[in-house]
Amino acid sequence: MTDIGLLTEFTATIELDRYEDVRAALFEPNLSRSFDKRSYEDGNIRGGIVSIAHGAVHRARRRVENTQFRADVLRLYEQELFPRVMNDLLDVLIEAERVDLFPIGELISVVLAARRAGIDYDPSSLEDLRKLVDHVDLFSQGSAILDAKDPDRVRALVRETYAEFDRDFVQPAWQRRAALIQQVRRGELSEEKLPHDILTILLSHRDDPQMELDDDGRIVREVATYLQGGTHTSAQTLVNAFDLIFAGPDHEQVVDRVASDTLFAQRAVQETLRLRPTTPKMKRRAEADVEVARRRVPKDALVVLDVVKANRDPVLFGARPDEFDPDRAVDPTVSRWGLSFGAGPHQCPGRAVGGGFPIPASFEVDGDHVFGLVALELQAVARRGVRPDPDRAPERDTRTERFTRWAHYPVRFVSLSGRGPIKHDLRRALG
Amino acid sequence: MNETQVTVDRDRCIGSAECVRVLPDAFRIDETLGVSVPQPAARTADLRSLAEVVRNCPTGAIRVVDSRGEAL
Repeated sequence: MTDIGLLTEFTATIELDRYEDVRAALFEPNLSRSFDKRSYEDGNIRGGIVSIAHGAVHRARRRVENTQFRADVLRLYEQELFPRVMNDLLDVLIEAERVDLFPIGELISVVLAARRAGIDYDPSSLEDLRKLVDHVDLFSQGSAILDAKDPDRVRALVRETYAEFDRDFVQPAWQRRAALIQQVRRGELSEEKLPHDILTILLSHRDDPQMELDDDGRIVREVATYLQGGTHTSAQTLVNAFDLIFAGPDHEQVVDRVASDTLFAQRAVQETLRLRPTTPKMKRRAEADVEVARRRVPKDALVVLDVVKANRDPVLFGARPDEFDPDRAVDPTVSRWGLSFGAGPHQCPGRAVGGGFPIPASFEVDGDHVFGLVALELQAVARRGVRPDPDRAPERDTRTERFTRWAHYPVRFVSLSGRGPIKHDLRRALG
Repeated sequence: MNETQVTVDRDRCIGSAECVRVLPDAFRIDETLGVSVPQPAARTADLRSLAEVVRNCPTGAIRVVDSRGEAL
């Protein structure tokens, strides 16, 4: 039996690290993400959320939640909402020549992640955003519970955070949306007037028994999942991208190229995702005896999928797959980000939000192309003349085994050298 | 002309719209049901693009059989 600190036991451990084998496992419907059999009250911090749901419940939730990730919604966010919010907010947050890039990445990402999740915040101050980012930090530890160094402590902290998040953010948003939904059902309000977010659609579909949303806590956890996914992964990818760029001998030229070429910025983000996947080792549990990639997998076996190795297959990604090369030629049948967003039924619904649409081999895109919000963040920071801070070393997040997570990433901005703080109207940025 | 049979298994589909992204004229999402519905243009769509759709469908819900009766 294998014990990796989980709440179940495994009949065997199967490890896969070839691209096609990992992909086949991710598509296999008999491999689930349902590890934790204990109830929420007993300590399951992710109980019932879509990420670990399986079968009919998972399909029902994804069918309604996927509506928030349609191409027209992505374009609205990317072309109209995000650039203004991001640039105004960056002007407020980059108030000195030397700053910590990681929390800045979280703050600019949480604005739209909150909007998509259905969380309202006070646009007149940064305090709500900072509190949301603090919550996201705890939820992120919960989402990586399989790799936590002290899982019991993480469970306790995340439970406390859910209660606070529910009280301060979810309940006010919930009540407002529930009242609007009632108005629609009474014919007093057009359905188009409802907010377009995860919380609204969960409340609208709560009566559908297939959704299994009787438990209020499950809705809170689902909303938190989308808030966390849209914030933490984006901020970590932003920092990882600059970390890879700064490691190169010509990093100033690469920063300049990011600043002037949005499609190159997107390729840099997708290359970063390939080399630094948010979840380096994905884990699945066999719901039944099954054969995957020519391997017999017994029921209740743990299947470990090494995404880092799979993403460095030289046949698919070229002769030097370990190098950071946004211009690399990639086999047209695979994503430039490899399997970092997963594949199959549990593929990340927000993959195009963060990473954008696939990039054609010709590197030519039309006006409908979605570059992804992280590419826009990378470009906006590059345009401000970002450089590594020679006096302060970056710090990894030591609470997790995941090598792709940062706690602090000090940088300096050459464009601000010798200048005083820039002050902008925060209400204009967040309103 | 290429006459291809394209079907979507509604019980499997989760409405990810990967098919719509690759072939926007060949598929559309029924937002009431949350699932993909093949359109008439799917029958004459480029086979390479249809193969990409089949490969990328996250739940394996899309089945394409070409004019020779072979499944992509």
